[in-house]
Amino acid sequence: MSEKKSIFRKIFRRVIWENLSTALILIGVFMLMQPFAMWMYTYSFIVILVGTIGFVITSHFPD
Amino acid sequence: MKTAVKKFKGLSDKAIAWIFITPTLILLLAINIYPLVYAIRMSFTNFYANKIGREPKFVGLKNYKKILGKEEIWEKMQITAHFVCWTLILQALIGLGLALLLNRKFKGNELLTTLIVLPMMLSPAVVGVFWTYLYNPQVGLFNYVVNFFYDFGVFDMIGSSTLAPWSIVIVDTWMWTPFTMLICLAGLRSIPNYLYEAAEVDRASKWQQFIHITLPSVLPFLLLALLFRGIENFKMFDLVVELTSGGPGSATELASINLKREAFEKWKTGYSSAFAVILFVTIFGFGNVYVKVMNKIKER
Repeated sequence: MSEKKSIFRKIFRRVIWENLSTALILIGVFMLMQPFAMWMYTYSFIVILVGTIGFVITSHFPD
Repeated sequence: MKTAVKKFKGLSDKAIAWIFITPTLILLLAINIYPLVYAIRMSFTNFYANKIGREPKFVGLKNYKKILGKEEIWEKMQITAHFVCWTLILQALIGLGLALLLNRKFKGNELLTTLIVLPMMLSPAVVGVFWTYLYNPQVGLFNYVVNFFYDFGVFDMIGSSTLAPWSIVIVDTWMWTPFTMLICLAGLRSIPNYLYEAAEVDRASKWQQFIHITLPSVLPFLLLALLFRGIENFKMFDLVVELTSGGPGSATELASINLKREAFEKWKTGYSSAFAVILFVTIFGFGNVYVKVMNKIKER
C-alpha cells in the first residue's frame, strides 16, 4: 500500500507537471501571436487551454 | 447594538467569518462568475443579440474553428502582440530609469514626481483626443518637436499604416510609464541602506551594486507592474479607439477592438463570446505563469 503511494507521489510531483504546464502555456501564447505560420495560430488555443487547465490541477499536487 | 452583540456571541468564529464573506461572494458570483459562465455557454451557439425571439442553436465548436482558422483574426493577434511587447519593453526601461533618477535626493524631487505621475491620472478618452491634436501633421506639436531635431518633413503618424502602430505605443508608454515608475520607486525605497554600505566596504563599483543589489531587489516590483500592464494592454480598447479607431485600414485594430466590432456592430454574439473566451484563457494562463515566476524571484 505504502509502495503504491510512493509510486503515485513520484509520478505526480508538482514541480515536473507544473513546469510542463507552464511550458505549454508559454508555447501556446507564442503560437497565438507569432507571425510565421497559420497552422501554429490554429492550434494555439488548444495548447494554451491544456496548459492552463493542467496548471490549475497540478498546482494542487504535493511537492 | 447590544442585541446584535448577543446574537454574535452564540456563533462560532467560522460562522461569523462566513457572515462577513457571503455578501462579497454573492457579488462576485453575480458580477464575475455568472457572466463568464453565460459567455462560455453562448460561445457554443449561433446567438445574435439583435434578433429578438430567435432561439439560439447549439453549434458546438464551430465558432472556435472559425476564429482559429481566420487569417484576419491572426493579423489582429500580431498587431496586439506588437503593441503589448513594445509598450512593456519601453515602460520597463523608462519606468526603471525614472525611478532610479527620482530615488536620488535633489531639489524639486517631489514636484517632478507629481508632474511625471500626471498622465496616469487622466482619462484615456481625454488622452486619446489631445494626442490626435498633437499628432496632427499640420499643426501638431509632435511633428514640430521631431523636425526640430532632424528634418523629416511632414509625416502623418496616425494616417500612415506603418507609423500608426507606433503612435499607439508612444501614447500608451507616455501615459502608463509613471505607473511602472511608482512601483519601482516603492521597491527601491524598500532596499535597506546597509546593503550598499557593506558593498562599498567590499569595494564594489556602482555598476556591481546595481547588478547585485538594486536589480534583484527591484525585479519583483517591476515584474508585478509589467504583469498589470501586460494584462491591461492585452485588452486595450478605449485609448486606441479614441486615437485611431483601429485605422488606417486595420493597422491598429487590436483584438479587443475587433471583438467589439463583431459583438456590437455585426451582432455576432455567439461568435464574439468564443473570441472573448479565447482571450480570457490566454490572459488567465499567462497570468498564472507570471505569478509563478514572480514568486520564484521573491523566494530568492
